[in-house]
Amino acid sequence: MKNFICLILISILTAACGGTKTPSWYSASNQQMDRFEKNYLAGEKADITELNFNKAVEEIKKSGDLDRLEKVWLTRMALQIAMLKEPDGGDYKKIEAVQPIPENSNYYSFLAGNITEVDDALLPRQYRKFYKALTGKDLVGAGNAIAAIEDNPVSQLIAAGLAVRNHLESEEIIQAAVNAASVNGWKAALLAWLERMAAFYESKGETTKAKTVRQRMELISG
Amino acid sequence: MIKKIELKVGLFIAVSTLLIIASVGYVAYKKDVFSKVYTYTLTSSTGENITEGMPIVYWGFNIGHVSSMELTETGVLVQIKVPERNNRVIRTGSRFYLEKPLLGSSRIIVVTDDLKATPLSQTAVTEIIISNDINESIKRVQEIAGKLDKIAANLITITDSMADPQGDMRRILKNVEKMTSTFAEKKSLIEMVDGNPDSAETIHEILETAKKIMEDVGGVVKKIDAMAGKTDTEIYGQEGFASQVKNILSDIQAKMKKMDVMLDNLNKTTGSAADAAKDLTSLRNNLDEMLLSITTLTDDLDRVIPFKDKQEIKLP
Repeated sequence: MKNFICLILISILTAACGGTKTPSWYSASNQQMDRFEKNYLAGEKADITELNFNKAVEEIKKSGDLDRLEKVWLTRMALQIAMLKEPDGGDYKKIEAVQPIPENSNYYSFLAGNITEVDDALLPRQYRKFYKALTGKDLVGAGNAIAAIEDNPVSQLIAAGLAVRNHLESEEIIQAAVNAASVNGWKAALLAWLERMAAFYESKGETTKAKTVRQRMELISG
Repeated sequence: MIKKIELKVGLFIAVSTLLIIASVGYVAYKKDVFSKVYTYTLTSSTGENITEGMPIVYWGFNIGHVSSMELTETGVLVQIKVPERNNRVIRTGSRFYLEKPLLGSSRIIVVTDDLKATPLSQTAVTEIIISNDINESIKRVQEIAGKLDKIAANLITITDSMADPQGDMRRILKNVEKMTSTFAEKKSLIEMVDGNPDSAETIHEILETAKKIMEDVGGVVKKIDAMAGKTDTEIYGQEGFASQVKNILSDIQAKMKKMDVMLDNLNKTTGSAADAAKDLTSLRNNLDEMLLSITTLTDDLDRVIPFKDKQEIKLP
């Protein structure tokens, strides 16, 4: 029994010495945001995703860390774009008025479509190439840049959403978003992008392709 | 003389008749027989769990009842009757939820956000929303079961090297595994949703196991706590991990005690639908509270034993 207690003690001590102690609000807010992201893209009920988000905000508020608070509102806004919804900054502007953080303000401008106000050096690294294509209205370049973000499917969806919002729409861009949603099993995102793809084909007069996409949607929805 | 008796008998009969009529009238008045009754039409994709006479509830008060049901090609039309005095809560924008408690009879809950809105038209057809709150709980249970699985896996790495096979941690691990498998067992969960009376047993079993786990973890913490003088005060001090976990455990244990009493009560009252429904609402609240407590405990274990790297919130 003595050995047992010593082992437990050593394990915990080693663990505690090995890394810094993480505050509970910190890990709880991270976990809730992870769940929010996953549930939101998967199409979980709104009250569940709202619960995740509000819990994350509540936890961060305990620390008064406005940088993080801004980041969670920006994350929510970005995910709305990824789902082809109208972005809503929520409380972001109110928080920014109290504590403006260049990196966050820059990201907000990026999401809000104020492209000329964006400083690409302050953007998250994965968007820089895409941003160049966006400002240059380079449809092919945007498609390639989005495809290149394959190691970060959420960013890929956000970039695709931004491209579409900025009237840069191609089969490749939509397909990249569809693939990202499909591979990760984000059903709601997948259906939103398939709907967009069907509309895209219809606008180009490719009714057969549009019909196939709609059949695919019928099979997976419900 | 005879005339006088006849008069008295006649008076007696007249007064009695009047009293009877007055009593019947009073009862009828109280039962809203004379008041205006509003009829609203609701629609549902299924008539399951809806019955004629089912109460319509607003803020816990019965404000009306289901008067009739009719099967149509697309679903079921449900007519509800609400007396005039309760009609002020039925407004445009009112939502009707079919609440299906674990046990006991179903009811239709009315939710009205704006009582100043225009009255709901009697010709309008409103859809009944099926309330799946117990399903939400189960979803959360499954989520937590996943977390417990992870902790169980990490506990294996600690306990593997232990000499004492009957050690406290090994027992905890065994119970965690048992609890996880009970949660994961599909059959049990379906029973919980279906409102099978046996589900109370399942819940009881889960809670009992949870209690054992918490007690055992508490025991281990207590032992470590006894050595606090020789260790890092940050971990074992007043604000340290051991103290925090102890507080959480006390909280969980207190809730378990409450739940034990309630579950016993529940087993007795399954015959009485109304009482059972009331008890189950509070059971659900307590279950949710317990789940939140367990989540907090597992989060704390995650924090002290860093199974994964510290994560930053990054802009996506």
